[in-house]
Amino acid sequence: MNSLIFAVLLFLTGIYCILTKRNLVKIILGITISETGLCLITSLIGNTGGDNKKIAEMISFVILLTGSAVTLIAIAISVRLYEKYGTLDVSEMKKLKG
Amino acid sequence: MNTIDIILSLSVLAAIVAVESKRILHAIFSVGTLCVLIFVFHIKEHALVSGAIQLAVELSILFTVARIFINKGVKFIESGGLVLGRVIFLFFLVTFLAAAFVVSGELLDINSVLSQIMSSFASKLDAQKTSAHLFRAFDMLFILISFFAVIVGVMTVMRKKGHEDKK
Repeated sequence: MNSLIFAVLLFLTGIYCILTKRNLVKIILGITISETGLCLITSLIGNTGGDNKKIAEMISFVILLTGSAVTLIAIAISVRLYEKYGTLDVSEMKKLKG
Repeated sequence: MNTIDIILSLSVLAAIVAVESKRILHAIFSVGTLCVLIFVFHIKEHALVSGAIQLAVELSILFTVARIFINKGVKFIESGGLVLGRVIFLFFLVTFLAAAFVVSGELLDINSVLSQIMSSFASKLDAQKTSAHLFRAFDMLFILISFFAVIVGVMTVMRKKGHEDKK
């Protein structure tokens, strides 16, 4: 039970980072942290032995691979945004606002 | 509080440091530490493939982030000054040492060269269980410190390359 609490805390730390930070790199790192927390939660919930563990491991794979793809695309987009705006502060990127 | 709880609490601490750090390298190092800790967790749970994939994918992402952003000369120092400063590197070292000592007793039977040398010494000394654990702890510590040194080395080279590119 304690482990699950720590995993949820990890996930919430990532979400906190995504919601409160304005730097794009920090937001990407927040996505990575929350994805790691999600993986942990899946592993811990599915850790009841037998087939459940295998299913949980497979779901963890999918989360990891999808998360890594999302992160890499986010990195590519943030590099282009930095070249365009000269900053990584999301509050200064107002082109698509409203 | 068992071993897994300690590993997970350290990983939460690493995540908080990553979120609150003011420099890109510090944040990346923190997330790297987090990845290593989660890797240890997966191994402890006997999910070796998950752990290996986690470590490989996350660390490659972090290296990509560091390399791209350092080469682009992105400034990552936020306003308000450097709160955590160089103390963060001490944190990494302490985390690695703690992880090494926590997991060494019951984690893996890693058959590295050092372990073989140690175990040969141990057999000569008619080692008891405690000394065997100690040798394994040193072995794990050696591996983790080597890993840490490799990461620091790669990051330093990338940083120098970034500075050269900027000039």
